[in-house]
Amino acid sequence: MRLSRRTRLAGVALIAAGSLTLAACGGGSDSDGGSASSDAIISVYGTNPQNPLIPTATNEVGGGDPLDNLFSGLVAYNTDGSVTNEVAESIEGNEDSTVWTVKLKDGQKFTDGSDVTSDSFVKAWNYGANPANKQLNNYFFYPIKGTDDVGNTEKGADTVSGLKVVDDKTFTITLKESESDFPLRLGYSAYFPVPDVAYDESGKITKEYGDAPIGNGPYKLTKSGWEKNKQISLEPNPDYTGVHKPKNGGLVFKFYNSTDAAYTDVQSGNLDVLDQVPPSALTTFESDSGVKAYNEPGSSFSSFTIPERLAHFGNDEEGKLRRAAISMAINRPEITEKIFNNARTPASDFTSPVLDGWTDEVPGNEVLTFNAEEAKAKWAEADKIDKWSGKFELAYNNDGAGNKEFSEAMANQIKNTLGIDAAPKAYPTFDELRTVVTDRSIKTPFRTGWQADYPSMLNYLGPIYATGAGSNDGDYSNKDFDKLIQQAAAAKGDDRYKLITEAQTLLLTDLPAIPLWYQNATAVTTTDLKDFVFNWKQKPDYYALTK
Amino acid sequence: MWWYVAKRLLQTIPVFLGATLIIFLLTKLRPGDPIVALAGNKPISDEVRQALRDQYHLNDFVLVQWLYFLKDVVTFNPDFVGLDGQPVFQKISNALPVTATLALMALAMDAVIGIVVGTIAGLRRNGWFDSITLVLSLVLLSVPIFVVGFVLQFLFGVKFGIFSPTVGGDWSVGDLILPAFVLAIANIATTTRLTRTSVANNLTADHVRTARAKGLSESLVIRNHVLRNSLVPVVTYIGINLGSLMAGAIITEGIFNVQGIGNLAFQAVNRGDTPLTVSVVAVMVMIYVFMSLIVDLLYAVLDPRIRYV
Amino acid sequence: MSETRPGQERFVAPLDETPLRAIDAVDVDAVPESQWREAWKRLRRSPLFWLSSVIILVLAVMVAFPGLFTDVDPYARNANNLSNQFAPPSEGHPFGYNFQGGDIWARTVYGARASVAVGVLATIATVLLGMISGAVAGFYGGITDTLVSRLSDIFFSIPLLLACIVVISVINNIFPNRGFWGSVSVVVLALAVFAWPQITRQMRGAVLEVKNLEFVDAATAIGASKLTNLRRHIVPNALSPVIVSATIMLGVFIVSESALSFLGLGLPQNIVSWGNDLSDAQTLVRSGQHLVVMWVPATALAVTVLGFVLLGEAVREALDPKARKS
Repeated sequence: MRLSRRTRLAGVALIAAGSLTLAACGGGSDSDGGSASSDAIISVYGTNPQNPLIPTATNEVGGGDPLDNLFSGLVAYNTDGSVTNEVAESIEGNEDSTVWTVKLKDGQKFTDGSDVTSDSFVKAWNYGANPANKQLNNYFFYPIKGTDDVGNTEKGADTVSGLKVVDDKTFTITLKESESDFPLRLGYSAYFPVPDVAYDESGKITKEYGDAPIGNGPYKLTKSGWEKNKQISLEPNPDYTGVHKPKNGGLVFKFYNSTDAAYTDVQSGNLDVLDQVPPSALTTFESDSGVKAYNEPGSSFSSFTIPERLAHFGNDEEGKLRRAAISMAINRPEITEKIFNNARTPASDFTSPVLDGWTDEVPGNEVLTFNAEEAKAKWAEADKIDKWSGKFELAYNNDGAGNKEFSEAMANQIKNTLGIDAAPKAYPTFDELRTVVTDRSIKTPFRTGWQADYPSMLNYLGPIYATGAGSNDGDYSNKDFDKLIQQAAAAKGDDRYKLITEAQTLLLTDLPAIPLWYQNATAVTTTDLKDFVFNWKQKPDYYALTK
Repeated sequence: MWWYVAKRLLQTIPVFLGATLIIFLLTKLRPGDPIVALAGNKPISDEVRQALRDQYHLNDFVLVQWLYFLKDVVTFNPDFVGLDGQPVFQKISNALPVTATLALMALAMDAVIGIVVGTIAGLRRNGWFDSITLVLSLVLLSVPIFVVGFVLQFLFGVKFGIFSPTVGGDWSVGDLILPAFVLAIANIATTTRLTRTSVANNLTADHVRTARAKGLSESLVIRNHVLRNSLVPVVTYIGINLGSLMAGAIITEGIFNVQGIGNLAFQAVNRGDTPLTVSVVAVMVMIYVFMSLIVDLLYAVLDPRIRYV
Repeated sequence: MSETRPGQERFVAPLDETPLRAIDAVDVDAVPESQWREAWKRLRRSPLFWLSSVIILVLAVMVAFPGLFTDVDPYARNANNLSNQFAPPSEGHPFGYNFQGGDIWARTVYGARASVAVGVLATIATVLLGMISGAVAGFYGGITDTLVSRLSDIFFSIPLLLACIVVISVINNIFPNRGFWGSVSVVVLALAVFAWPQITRQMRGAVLEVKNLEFVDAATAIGASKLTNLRRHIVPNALSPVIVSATIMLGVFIVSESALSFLGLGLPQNIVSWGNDLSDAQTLVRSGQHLVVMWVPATALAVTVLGFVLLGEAVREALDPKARKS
């Protein structure tokens, strides 16, 4: 998952809506509610949803967070990113993992009293995949047979041929290709069920439903529900039987325009939870007596990409020397300490330290350590091949918290170490930066980042650096790397990790992207808020919050 | 007089057309496909993309697009949606009350403080009050609004807890006092300076001397002859500022989390949401147009030499 | 002692023995010149003028030769070094260092150039556009007035900041790579194109006010042409409010540049400017630490604005025919 426009949106981009509702350790649904505070209503930071609250239409966090609490999918995500069956009784694949049979639990109901059936899923997915419905999340359906490479139904058909209803409680999913961890996907919001009442006579999901969705999740909308540009209020769903049983009396997503304003509200007790810390408060939030601070290693990875098509940075000896020189000219610990106040951790590879199999001893990672002499020497060596001229610019999006500060500091370090003209280059918004990156018109190196869809090191490598991969922004291609990744996907245990390390060593020589740091998960809450836990996506477990 | 009002109302039409056209064309100059931005740079199929482009008339000639826009605005089409598929008029009518209240409060603070302080300074030109006012107004003019905003928010909102530091969706007039003051600050400085200059000018004018020579009491002279004439440029300034106050709210609303028009505008510009951007501009344009009509009518009231036929 | 008869001016010297004729003579072509010369005379006596001149002179030298004020070049290699972050003042670095480890004083000195350039150029452009259009509209009236007024209404009706955001974000997308003057001129363009109507309105209002005054009527009565009237009587009389506005506007423009920087749309951040430095300092305001990072450029900005406003005040008093009478 590509890092998105703001840290607030971290974990949004690909599975935008899918910032999960999560179970805390071990399916703790046995809330016998002893504490008197279980009816406390918790106010949490949010932004006004930009799309109707329809699972297949919501692709950003403002709508995604409420949606994840209003609906339950076939599986639910635990705090560590693993999955537990939620609405599904079982999800079983055939031998080659191409056909999956889903059986639903009995007695699952939407909050309007109607049953959750196979149809609730299949109809919603068909709806999402049908291009006529213009659903932004249709690409979630691309693994399923009968969709094109974006996820639309093939040739504009009404239904996806790979989805078959067997009976009320059973349906099958046929995939285009074998995918052994397919069920891992099924907790994302695009795969949520939708009740019949949502559709009008012509089969379209109504606007009214998009404003006040009826779900099957841990929460339901209160009477006031979604008050546009103000807040969304949720109350516990009494009929909910899943693993995320609310431990509080309700959630209110209060909409803010800036995290600065939200931070001030936490300080003054007007907001309970802000799941990210604005840069202006990074140096002070841990010592701020007015708030409770959280700061933990996180799952998102920051880098910047130097496309091979840029002059002097081609896939040759000169390009490699220059990339290494740039990488060694950056003093990562200095930036993470002085700019981010240790809310980032310097990177020693291309993945994330919260993952199984991660090691800080990938051979070749000394190229990620600041070394002015070595950097200058490599740069001079490259100059012998072809003399450097021009300006080294670093593109970043200015609407992302802290981007401006670190880009400037990094440009200064490169300038100071190598003696070349280096400067940061601002794009006002994430969208604008991504547009020029995607259409390949950008003429400078640019900031990149990644948060994986599920906790696997491979998910940090394949989608970004494999030849022709969807997020291969720098058009990197290395056959050996591709082969290692394929082998690793098939391998298990230590063998797998060894292959991944080998692949990473290749990346460290080629440096298609220059690793910078791992982003910590930071948050502040009011001092009386309890049971705050970050899940694997650096989001709080909303259902578990208490006061 | 009524004929004049009718004429002026007719004249608002070209202003409205011109302003929306300018902003419409400007936003259209921006490269990049708004549909791609809408998809958040995630994969989007050509079918969906083209269907969305057709829905928003993005494949038509730009002037035709503008006409579609006008049609939706003029007919108050409730189904007229921005790029996010949400009704534009609903968004604006949700955001307008708080910004209007904010701007009117700022305007009132501006007028009251600016005119009172400016008049006193003008009457006692070069006295200690005048000097202090000059220095203060300069300081206020020269410090950026966001610095003032953050400092006041920190001091009065967080540290002393006198005001709510942020406003949010559930606003009350009390919450808006601090943001309105921040919004008004730069204008107060200007209004004060203008009033002072104007009053000082008029104090030495012939008709004032004549009035004094006639033996009118000083307070009458000041009220009828100095103030009345001095207020002409001041009223112009204050009146036509309502629109720019609402735009200035872009920053103030961001600092204090006011869910108003300024914020809506900034988000719309950032997302390349032409329908919403131009609609917000259109609202501001209308507000400006009516304020300037009121100002012109006040002109006639304040300065008998100007008559409208 | 000779005889006196009724009507005879007994105590008046013969005409050719007095300088009265020279005093009474109306040198029609010389009027504007003498007016400006007289204004200069009055200016020279004004302490405000001298104070503002000193400020502006120092500022001008700072803009032209920043190296005279500091030995540190903020554009040089190693000028910004994180190891100096918030380092306290030391020899040659009177105010210490900022967040990025840059010398606060040196940045303020070098930043004068961009800020003053934006302020001065935008003001000049705005005033020129506004005065010409306003004078023409107010004086000629009729269809000209309607046209100019509607056009200025159109531009003025679009709020300045919002318009600037749209213009700059569009230009940033079309021409992403611009040097110092390129970047400055984009901000200037955006400000001037949408700010001129303010001057237009003021000029038009002032012209309308002056046009009906007695001395203009008188001038018309003795046969001055319309254009002569405009040039000789109306414009100078309308000038003083414009000068006051323009000096205020200059400050507003410099501050606007920092507001645009705050929104990420001002000058690119590799250009040292007060706006960028103030925008960078905003995060520190909240925590209340290292406020010197804000105060130094803010003070420079305040003093600059002060200089121009004082100058405007002095010039206005010297120019204003009404003030002259008192």
